[in-house]
Amino acid sequence: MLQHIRDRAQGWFAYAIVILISIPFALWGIQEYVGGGTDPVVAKVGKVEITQRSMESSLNNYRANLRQQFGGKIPEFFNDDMLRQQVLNEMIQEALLTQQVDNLNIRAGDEMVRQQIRSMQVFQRDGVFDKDEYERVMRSQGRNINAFTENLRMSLGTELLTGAISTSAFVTDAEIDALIRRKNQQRVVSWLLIDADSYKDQIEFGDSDIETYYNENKQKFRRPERVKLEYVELNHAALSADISVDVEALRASYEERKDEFKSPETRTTRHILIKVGGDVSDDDAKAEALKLLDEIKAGADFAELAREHSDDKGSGSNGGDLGVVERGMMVKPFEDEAFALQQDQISELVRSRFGYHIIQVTKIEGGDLQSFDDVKQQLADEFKKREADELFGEKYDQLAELSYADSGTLQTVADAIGVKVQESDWVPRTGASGKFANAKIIQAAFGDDVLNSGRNSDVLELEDDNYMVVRVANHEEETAKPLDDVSAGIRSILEKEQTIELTQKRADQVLNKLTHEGGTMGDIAADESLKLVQDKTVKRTGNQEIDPQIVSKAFAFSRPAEGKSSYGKVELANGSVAVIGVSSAIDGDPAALTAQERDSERQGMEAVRGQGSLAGYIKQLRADSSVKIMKN
Amino acid sequence: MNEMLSDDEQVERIKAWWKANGNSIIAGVVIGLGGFFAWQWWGGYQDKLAGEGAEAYELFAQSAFGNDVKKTDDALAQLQSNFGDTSYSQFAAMELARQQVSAGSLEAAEKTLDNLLKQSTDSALKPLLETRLARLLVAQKRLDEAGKMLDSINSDAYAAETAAIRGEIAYLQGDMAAARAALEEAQQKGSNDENINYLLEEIGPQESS
Repeated sequence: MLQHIRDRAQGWFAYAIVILISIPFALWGIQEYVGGGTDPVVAKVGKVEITQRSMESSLNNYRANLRQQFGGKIPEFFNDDMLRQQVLNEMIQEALLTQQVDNLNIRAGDEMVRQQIRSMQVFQRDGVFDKDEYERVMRSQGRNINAFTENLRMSLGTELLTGAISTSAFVTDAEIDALIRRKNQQRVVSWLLIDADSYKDQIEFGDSDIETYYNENKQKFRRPERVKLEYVELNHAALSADISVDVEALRASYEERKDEFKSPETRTTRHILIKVGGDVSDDDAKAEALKLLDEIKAGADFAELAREHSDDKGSGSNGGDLGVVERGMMVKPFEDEAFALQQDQISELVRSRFGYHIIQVTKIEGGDLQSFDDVKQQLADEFKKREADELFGEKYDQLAELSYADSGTLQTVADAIGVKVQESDWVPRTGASGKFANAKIIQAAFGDDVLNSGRNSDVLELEDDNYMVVRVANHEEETAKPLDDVSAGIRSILEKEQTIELTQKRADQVLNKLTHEGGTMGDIAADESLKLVQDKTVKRTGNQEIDPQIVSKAFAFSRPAEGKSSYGKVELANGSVAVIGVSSAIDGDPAALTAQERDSERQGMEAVRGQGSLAGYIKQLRADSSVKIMKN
Repeated sequence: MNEMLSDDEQVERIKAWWKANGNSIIAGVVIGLGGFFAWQWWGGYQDKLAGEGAEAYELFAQSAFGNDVKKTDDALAQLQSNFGDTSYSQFAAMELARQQVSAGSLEAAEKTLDNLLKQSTDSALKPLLETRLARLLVAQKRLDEAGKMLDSINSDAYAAETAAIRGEIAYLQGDMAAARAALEEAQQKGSNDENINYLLEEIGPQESS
């Protein structure tokens, strides 16, 4: 049978079958090498694929950044599609640049990569690069050092490319001159002031106008839903203020705690140390120390001996002086002795783990006890706080329990904790001022339980140690405000409208005289007794005592032609109108700038132009490569 | 494998076959492996060269900001002799041009960019160099040449800058309507050049009458 097959399996047919069978074996597992496995691809830039996963991770970073920028919350005008679009775009640009870095055979050198790693803060300890730290961070984040450095190399390469394109942008001297001439241009401006106040007495309207306005603008005059609240308040500060203090008890506690009211004692100390260890045996050291001690007792100069003999070279050269010593700074045997000595007394030999010390205390400071009167207030405050804490705990429990148990009234709980039920003024749903501005109160008061079922609210924590329970005493739905309540407001609105209308009309007449009837500002001012401000020279910014509206209007005209003024009008903040004439423009003087100022203008312009260059370069890259965005 | 053969006969055949072909197979393997390792070495060598070039360029760019054209010129010559036709020497030449402009030597800068334009193989860079050349031509009041230079750019990528330069040219030629249109186009395409605002202000709005 097998022989039979072997005999027949010859020629092209046999080969075809063998090839077909071998294909799956040959290609088995190839996707592991070729594609990224199962991670879906959202865009393809040339050969570079942007995967769903890398996009999501960039998106998360971007969101985190935004959140940080806007104080914890992403504003709503950033919708998710927009963010996605933006992140994808940035990733495409990144990929285009990466590809180009590769094409141009740009590769950051080893030294550049090393420097970059050394300058990264995460790998530093005390401001210096630390190799162990570097390896530790890498391990803890599960990152491969090779992959990390190659990534870094790539981003350095990208930086090199973008830097080369943008920083090489230039600006010619003529362009800088032109900018300075225009930017520092000043304009000569005159204006006639049409004062809104002078039209106040020409205003006329009757009650029917107010009513008409009221009827036409009803939605403006709504009073929001509001409640009056009954409430009880539990306040830690108030509780503690009510606690009386027994002076005798305070005095007793003062006596008990006297140690706490001593200021820390410091002693200025000097010593001579004879070290034990190395070649020096304990006995030898002791013998030498004893000899020195005898000399000192015989009247030799301590400082002199310290300089010559002390093995503590640091203090020795200062005559053995250790400066000010506090408890806890020195080894135990040294400290015990130093704080037992009288001032100027010479110690016997003291054995520490360093060797033998001869110690002298040259000055004692502090260690004073504060008097009862000095600390009385502090003790009283502590006492009150302790007592109040206890009381507060009790009362809080009662407040929570009784306001819930007897939820139809606040009186029970108020009696129990010894406070009065108080009543608020109207609290609108849109928010009140003062104590009731707190959003928690509004939320509770207009919640279903309190508003509709007439129950007490939960205990509301307003701020630290201040608690409140509220119930609704009175409730009014949103209504139209009656005409009488708002007529004064409407009157002032109408007054303002009419004033503006009259003022603007007057301004138009004046403007017409200037532009069409050949009047001059001086004549008009005299004829119509208007206030004229003449020939002020204004800069684009930084003018003092000139209304910014007038300045911005003065620069809103195009450059006035020689000997021909441009005229216009602008409304000022108080409703008055200025009729403006710009008679000439004075160019800025490039020569007036210092070399430094000029340089900074140049750099600013170069930077803007450089960004333009880079944007263009990336657009060109995009046009030249295939960018595919997958729809999903 | 036409007939049934005994095992011994098969071994004999294989031996004979190896005698005839063995040398060429060994030679093939040696050449293949050699080629592979040579290729690896070549790749590594190229990477090393590229890395050194990058370091040389960084050094150049950093020291170049002193704006001393003579020094930059020498440093550029050095870089070009070591890293002749790499991107690094092109980038360095662009930086040199900036410094030449900054020092007021427009013609020198023009020459630098002109040479670079002839040399450069980076097709994305070409239109950028052309816009920069056009700026230089405008600054030298060679407006017609500048216009022709802009005409020769066959790319949309730098449209904002191109329009801005066209606006400048039209303004200098006194054609305010064309200048306004071009400058507005530049802004629309994303140019943030401060001068454009002021230039538009100077030209003024379109006469409505």
